[in-house]
Amino acid sequence: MTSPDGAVLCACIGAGLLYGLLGSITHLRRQSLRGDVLAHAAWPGVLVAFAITGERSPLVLALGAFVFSVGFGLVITWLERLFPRLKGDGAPALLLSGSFALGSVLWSLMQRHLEGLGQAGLKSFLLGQAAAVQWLDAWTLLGVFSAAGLFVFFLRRDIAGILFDRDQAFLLGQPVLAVEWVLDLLLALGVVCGLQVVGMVVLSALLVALPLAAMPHTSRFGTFVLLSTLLGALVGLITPWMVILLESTFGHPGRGVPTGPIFVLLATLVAMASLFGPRIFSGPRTDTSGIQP
Amino acid sequence: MGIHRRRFLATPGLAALTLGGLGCANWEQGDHVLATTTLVGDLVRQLLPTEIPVFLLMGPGIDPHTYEPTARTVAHIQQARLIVGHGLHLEGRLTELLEATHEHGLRRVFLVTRHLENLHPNRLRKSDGQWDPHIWFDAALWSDTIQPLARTLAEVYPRHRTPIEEKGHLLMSEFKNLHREMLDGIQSIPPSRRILITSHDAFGYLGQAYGLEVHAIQGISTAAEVSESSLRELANLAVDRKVSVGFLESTVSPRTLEKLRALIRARAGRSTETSFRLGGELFSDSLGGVGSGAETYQAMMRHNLRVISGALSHG
Amino acid sequence: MAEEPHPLKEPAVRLEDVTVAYGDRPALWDVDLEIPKGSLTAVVGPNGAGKTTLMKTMLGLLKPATGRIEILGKPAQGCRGKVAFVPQRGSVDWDYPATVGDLALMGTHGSLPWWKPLGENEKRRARQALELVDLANLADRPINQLSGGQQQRAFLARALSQEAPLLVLDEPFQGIDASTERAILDLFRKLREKGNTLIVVHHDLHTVRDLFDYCVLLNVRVVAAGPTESTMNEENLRATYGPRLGLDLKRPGNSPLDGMWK
Repeated sequence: MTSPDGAVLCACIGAGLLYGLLGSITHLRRQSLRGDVLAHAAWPGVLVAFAITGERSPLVLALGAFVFSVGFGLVITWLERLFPRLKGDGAPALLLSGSFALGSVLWSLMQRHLEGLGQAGLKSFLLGQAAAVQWLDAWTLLGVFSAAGLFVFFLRRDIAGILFDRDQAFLLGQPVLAVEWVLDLLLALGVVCGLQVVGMVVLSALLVALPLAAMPHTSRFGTFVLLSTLLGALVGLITPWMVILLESTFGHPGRGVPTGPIFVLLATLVAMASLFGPRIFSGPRTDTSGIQP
Repeated sequence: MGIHRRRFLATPGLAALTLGGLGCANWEQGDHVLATTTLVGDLVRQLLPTEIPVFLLMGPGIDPHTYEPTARTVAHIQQARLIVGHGLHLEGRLTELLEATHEHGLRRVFLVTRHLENLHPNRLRKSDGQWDPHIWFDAALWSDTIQPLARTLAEVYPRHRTPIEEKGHLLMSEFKNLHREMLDGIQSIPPSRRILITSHDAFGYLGQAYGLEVHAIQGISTAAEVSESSLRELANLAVDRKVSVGFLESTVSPRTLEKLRALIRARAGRSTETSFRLGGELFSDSLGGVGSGAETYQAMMRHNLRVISGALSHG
Repeated sequence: MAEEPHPLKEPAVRLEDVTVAYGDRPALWDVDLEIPKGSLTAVVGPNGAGKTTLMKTMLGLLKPATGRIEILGKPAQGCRGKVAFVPQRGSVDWDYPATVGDLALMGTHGSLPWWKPLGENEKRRARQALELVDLANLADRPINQLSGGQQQRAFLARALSQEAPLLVLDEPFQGIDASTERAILDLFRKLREKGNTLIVVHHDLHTVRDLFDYCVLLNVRVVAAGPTESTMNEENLRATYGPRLGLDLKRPGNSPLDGMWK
């Protein structure tokens, strides 16, 4: 069995690290659905960028994706501020299908003129085209991860406080708004960078699955974030190998096994194993919460 | 918006009808031919007299493998007098719609490759268990589609039977000349250099007919998943056989070729002897637009020949 | 009974003409209030009276439409570190990766810039806070495994580790068993003896008189404010709660905590 392409392997590990990190934070903010919206919103962003510039260059498309992701994120925040009765999932859920549907309408209208982007473009947006990933993509992911990682590390106290009790954080003088702003930005950036590699569907799934995989094992903030990140790296590491294994067993020449879905399946498997594993191995707990009066 | 119209004009009455049909879901039948791809449309246009307009579903640069039919597609089909498609599953999901339309007797549908598929399947190439639909790259084969098409057109437009049949003969001899031109052109490339690397496997018939070894990153459909191992095999081949040029396609994103180039560079090091470049854009699944120099089939084939022989001969 | 606070001392909290509205619905209207230092003050009123809003406005979490707020002589914004807040238990999702010890430590986060790691001083303060609320042995317990009373005490520990002279608490006795309640009250007494000021949104009218020396009757407007003895009369209560209140305040010995302060 051959070994995976270096760039693809590093990109997958980078994606795993990045979404493990971002996912853990997003999960604690109870904003996992928001991450989904940012990912979906990138689609009309890519199309609009293409429509305006006629350029297929990845930088232009990424910029379009970023602008729309951030834009939709702002709309969510604005809606939540304007209508405090829209609790929790309300605002993002409203925008989720809408953002992607906007893209689909645009795409339909542009179909006649989508030279070179076409529906192969849509498929690669949804599920990524890992085989065509180059070192630049891998370095970008690892770079964004490093930036995000440093931020989270140095401001871990503030972040932990802000995510647990926002009001209290204000009172303690912690920079709530600034931190939240940077986290939002990092999420949008992370989404955009991963689109080419793993695709939208995959990164949405990773953002959710990785923190859930980490959750049952720890009750400390730092350990939780670290574990989610490392599990992401692990899944990212295994995925290209799994793809090669499946290709050599089931594939034909010229027909590959898609990397994106394998990534999601492995992450989901890890999450399931984490959630159910202890229960399977140690039996049902008789004392469920250790409550003392 | 609206479907892509060919360059010559319809009569004012037909124009009004078409515009009316475009404006709303008008199911009234017009007098025109609806063609699916630019290649099929070009063939029909070259056969028909100019009074009869030909409309296209897919403009230049659109990838037919992944074309998604919409409600408007159905409306266009309803408005046409005759629909001419390619067949051999080139048009992806549209094929099913066309076949359903034909089976239910809703409109007349003609697939230019049906005759070949039924009567001469041995001349068709198979790839990965499926028919390779890109037959137009073999001019002789493409020429063989003319007669059945001309017959159908004559049936639908009986008043124009004679000019259609005459044009048919003319075209057939033109394509024969083209065929010889292509053969000479490709054969003039030094034998060791006759290797064509492209994004997807569109040029199998070109290779078969004119003596080129053809390799592609993706299979015959652009919808298939790119496999890392096939990329790597191709890179090895390129390095071993000292292939220095790969060709972009007008309907496919260059990402996979760029990755191939990166792999080759990594494998071969920096020696100039084995540097790999992307040498020009070929028209694969579509003709070119206005001003591209490839608005007709003949022009497109000659353009591709120029690009290929130019790049491969000079390395 | 407890001694009355000195009227000439600078008040812990002063509100002048404060109005807070949510959209066009007034939550606090024209509030003029002074809460003396060193007091144990109760804020009472029916649901929707604006008690939590009052707390949040005092803390600077909400901006009033009009009016001025002074905490310990300074405007509300400049009081970080001087005011500690104990919110309602339900204001937070307890399914969060943290231990009781982490929670207590959170109170010290405000006193250090982000680049300084937490030192012995901070850890000591957290430890002492935990001891005060009798949670020291549960320092490693994850907070999602706490009972209601433990959650309340953990929040208290977080506030106490700040070592702030003013504590604001929002319904700290809600849904708590008797022994925890006793423990917390004991703690309040100790804090007051040390000179701290406590302002408590309290839900149980019956016990206000026995526990608090100062009270504020609130129903969007301040109906009355002053020493409990004089302020908690039937007239004021009726004005606050409406005529349906069937509370018998004249008879002593109504409360299970009777005799507590003696």
